[in-house]
Amino acid sequence: MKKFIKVSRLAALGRIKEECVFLAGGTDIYVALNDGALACATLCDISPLKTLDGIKLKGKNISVGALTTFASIAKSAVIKKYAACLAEAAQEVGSPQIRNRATIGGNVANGSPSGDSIPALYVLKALIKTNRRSVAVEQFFTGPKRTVLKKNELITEILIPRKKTVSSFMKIGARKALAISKVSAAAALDIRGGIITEASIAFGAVGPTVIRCGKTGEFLTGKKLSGNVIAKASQIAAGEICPIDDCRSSAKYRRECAAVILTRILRNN
Amino acid sequence: MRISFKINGKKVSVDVAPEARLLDIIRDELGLTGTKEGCSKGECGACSVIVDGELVNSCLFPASQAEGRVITTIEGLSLGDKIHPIQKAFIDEGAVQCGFCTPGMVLAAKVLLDKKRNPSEEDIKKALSGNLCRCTGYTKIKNAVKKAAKKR
Amino acid sequence: MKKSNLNSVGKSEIRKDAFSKVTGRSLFINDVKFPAMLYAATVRAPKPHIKILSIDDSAAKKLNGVQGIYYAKDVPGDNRVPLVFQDYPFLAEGTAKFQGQAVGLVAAEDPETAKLAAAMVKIKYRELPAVFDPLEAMKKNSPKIYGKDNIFKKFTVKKGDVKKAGADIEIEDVFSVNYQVHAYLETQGAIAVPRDDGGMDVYGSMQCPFYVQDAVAKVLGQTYNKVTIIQQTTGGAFGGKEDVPSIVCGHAAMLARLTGRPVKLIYGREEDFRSMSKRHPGWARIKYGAKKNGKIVSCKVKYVLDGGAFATLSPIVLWRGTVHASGPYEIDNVLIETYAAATNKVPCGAYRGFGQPQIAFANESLLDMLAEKLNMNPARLREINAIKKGGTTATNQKITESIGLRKTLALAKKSAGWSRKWKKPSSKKGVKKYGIGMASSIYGVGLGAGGQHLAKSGSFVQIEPDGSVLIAVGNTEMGQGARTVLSQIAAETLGAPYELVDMMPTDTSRVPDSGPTVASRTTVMSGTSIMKACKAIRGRIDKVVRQELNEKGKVLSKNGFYKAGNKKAAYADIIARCWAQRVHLSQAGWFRVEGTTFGEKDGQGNPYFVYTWSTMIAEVEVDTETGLVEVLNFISAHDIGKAVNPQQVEGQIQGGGLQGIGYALSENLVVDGGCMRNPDFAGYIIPTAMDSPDIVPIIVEEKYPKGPYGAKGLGEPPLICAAPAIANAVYNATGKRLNDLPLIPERVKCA
Repeated sequence: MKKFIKVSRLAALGRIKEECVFLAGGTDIYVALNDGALACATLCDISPLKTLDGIKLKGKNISVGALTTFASIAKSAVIKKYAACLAEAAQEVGSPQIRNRATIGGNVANGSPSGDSIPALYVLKALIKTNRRSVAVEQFFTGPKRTVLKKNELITEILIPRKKTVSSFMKIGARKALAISKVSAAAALDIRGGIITEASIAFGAVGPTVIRCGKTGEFLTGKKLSGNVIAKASQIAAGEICPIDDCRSSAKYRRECAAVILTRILRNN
Repeated sequence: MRISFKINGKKVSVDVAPEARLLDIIRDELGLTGTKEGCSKGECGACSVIVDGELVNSCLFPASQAEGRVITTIEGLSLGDKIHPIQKAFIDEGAVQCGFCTPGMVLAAKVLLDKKRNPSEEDIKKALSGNLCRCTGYTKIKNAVKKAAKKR
Repeated sequence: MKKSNLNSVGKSEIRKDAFSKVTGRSLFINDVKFPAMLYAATVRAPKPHIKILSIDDSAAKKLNGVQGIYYAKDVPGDNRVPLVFQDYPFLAEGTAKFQGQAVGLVAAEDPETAKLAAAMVKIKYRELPAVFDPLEAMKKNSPKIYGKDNIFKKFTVKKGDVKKAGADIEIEDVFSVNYQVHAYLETQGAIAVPRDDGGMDVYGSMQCPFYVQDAVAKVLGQTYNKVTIIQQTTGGAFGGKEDVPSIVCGHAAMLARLTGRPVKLIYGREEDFRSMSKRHPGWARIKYGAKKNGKIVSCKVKYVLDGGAFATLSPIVLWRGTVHASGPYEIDNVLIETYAAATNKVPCGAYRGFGQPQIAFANESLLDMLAEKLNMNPARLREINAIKKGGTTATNQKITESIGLRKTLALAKKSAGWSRKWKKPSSKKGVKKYGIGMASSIYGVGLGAGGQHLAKSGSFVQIEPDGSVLIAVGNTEMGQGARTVLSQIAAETLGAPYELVDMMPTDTSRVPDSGPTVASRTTVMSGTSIMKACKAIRGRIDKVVRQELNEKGKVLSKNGFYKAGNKKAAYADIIARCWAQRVHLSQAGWFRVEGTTFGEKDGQGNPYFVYTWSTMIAEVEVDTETGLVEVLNFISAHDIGKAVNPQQVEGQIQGGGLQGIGYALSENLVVDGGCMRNPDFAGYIIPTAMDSPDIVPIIVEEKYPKGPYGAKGLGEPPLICAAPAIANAVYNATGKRLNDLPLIPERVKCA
């Protein structure tokens, strides 16, 4: 690390000349630091920006501050009520130690296609707000660990529309804790009178970014959830993703299990 | 940078490089070597300490964020021959073998029992899920936590 | 419960080191520092097989705080690690044979500078033809990296004639297993401190200080009597700190000699993964032949171990695997042919089970396949063929005592409810399927005929004026409980209260060589050695007791008192009397194993003096749609002769069992083209608390008359047949036979 800055006000960001790597909980940054990967970086500690921490209702949205930890998200009554899939995803991140420190802003900025919060944010149609603009979560990621964030652009909050959505998250990892997802799925359904009026499905770890399965969502819209509908939806979804072979798993396994976990999520609703 | 915080009930002030890890401050600056480094990546829990009542991996905790915190390491649970009931339970139940995971494991148990009087089997497994142990198979560790819970 | 005449042995005494470990006071090597200490880092080979053309360390040397960078040419003594075939250099000379092999060493004022400097050293190299598969390596046209044929060692066991066995049914299959990484929580580490008399003290995390003494003496060109090795509290080992600490300590010592300052060398986790020893990957083709009634009449095995780039312990690992390859069964005709081959990957060595877990996966899986072919319950097939008293092993060794195999089978079955629960795979329905499976094993305690030259144990016991007792042995405490168990044995034999007895730190200048702390030998070897010393002392104490009590006859000890006739005297008083009378209250002990044999051509003989017998039963639930396997219950029964400390025995059974479960289901080191792809805990998956069943330990005690209070060996058996128990359970659930470990979800998925 070349330089270390600590900011106590958001406005101060505009005055920093160097390109900064933002430090919140440190659960990703300090791994990179220990590896020597940030030898030439300028670290900017944003943890004093307390206004960026917390979950509150903001008009028609839920505002989740970028510095909110996964532990807070997992136990938030508001999140459990309106964004259940995000609470479920938060609960499965890493370990208790990691959840106490890792922030949702960090998880999103890191942009890993296996980042557990991201499929949930996709199906909740989240809006990523930075200190400069707002970007729909689906437009936010451009590739594995690549986002649209410009130099010194900082995620400040994530807005989730407050709707009567039923949502759920599931992941498959190599073990029950401290596991990077082999494949993960989130689904959010608006159901009125037993009919799905809107469906949003997204998968993690099966593409260069999280993938929203538009065709699957379209298929489910206007239908009643039945065994056949679920089976067909899962089949369509399996065709919309592009998993790879890596040292964690195989493309074949990921594709087949994507269908399995989507089926299970949909059945549970 | 100079940071001040409370550790094991005592106020301390240290000069550290801002990007230093809390783990290094604890072990090198303060000489409290009970907290261990097992992987440097937050993947094993051997470096676990309690900060403001929550369990964290000190290998990933920036020194710059330790200011004003209340920190407990394994050393904070005993004084001379007097040990914490959780430590006694670990001893009595045979939950210690090589001892490297033990400090982190004891602190994970403490955080759990401070929050839940009567943790279920699932609660215990979850609370310990970020602390790897290679020696015991976890069974006697879980038994120790259950025993300590009963004694409260 | 049977009433015991013993005071300490057989009791779950509190561990000697529990208090200091639970309070965080135990000092592991990275907790220790010395004044003016330097920090070391290692420069490593970037590719699997290279010719080193030149090294440019000019930029690295210029870094502020770098004391020096050293290579093979700077080794003061002999550059060969003094182990088995001595083909492994401390530092690469001219070529490097595996990615991660040590090429150079940096000494610097702080660890970050050392690490940075090491990363800046530029090795100019030419890649050489490499081989990564042991079967390929043994072929004629493979690149040769060891000798003429890439074979470190081979063995043959030939009993009877497999061609004339007269089997009604035969079954044969091929099995393979991947690496297993020890994943001890504490990485390798050492501190070398040069002495003012030209000698060297080395502190470190290790199992075998006397191996390290040999290595440090050789690398420095120093005499043994000026090299002292002190084992620090060691944070897990499982065999992974048997031989490689010789390299780590050798490196630290070399730097300490060359810089004249103490040097600390602590491995990073990824570095430890890449460069330190592992369980050998293995391959086996195995065939059983049986009569229709289930009696197995023949077993043919070809077993190959992937040794990695240097021989290290491969010849010995192979030997143990060879002797045990056909399983704990009475078979008249056996042909076992085994090979350890060289490949351009990390050298493999000792890991709990030492060549047995690999072949146990093969033979115990095949046994279940045979049972199915015979339309027989797998437990029944084992009961028919299990060696019994008077029976013979594959090496034609007659087992005349201490054989509790059938008891482990019976008790494991009972605990699991096997007869009620075992049903054929075809009966299973649904997405989540239940399965139950079993496996058994035989384990020769100690180094055996293959390690006869090391099979001795020295000890020293001393009673202090206040009655406290100091034991000195060359064996080490590494979490397995040796310090506690040996203290119990000494306490029992001397009649001293357990609380007053302790083992001193293993410092080669203060303790005798008891051989390595390996092969589940410590309780028997050092236990026996200590008992001999204690019996001599006890004889002298008894004389004083009879004198004091004016009694003749046998002196017993009970709860801190010596008793003769109807009278008794307090332990402390008698010891005070002994001291006042200048009775000799210390004694050296020496125990050597005699009579183990192994025919060079046919492997026939008595390779071990006693065996531990085991049966494990696993109950699983397989999610057939995801391939995820949940272990619902795991029963692990072992005949260990005598449980000196039942609670610690249970801990070993549970710890070893979970390592075996990890080996079976999730631990998958991905090495391709000689490059390790997942060298950390995020990628190499060991079980967390959420992934572990409560392992049910069952202790069987078929006393070994020559063992200390009947005890045999325990450290390794808890892992050996865990994987086949799991694999057989998974088969029982799904009807899908899997012949390759680990049974990751990608392989298990069958829907």
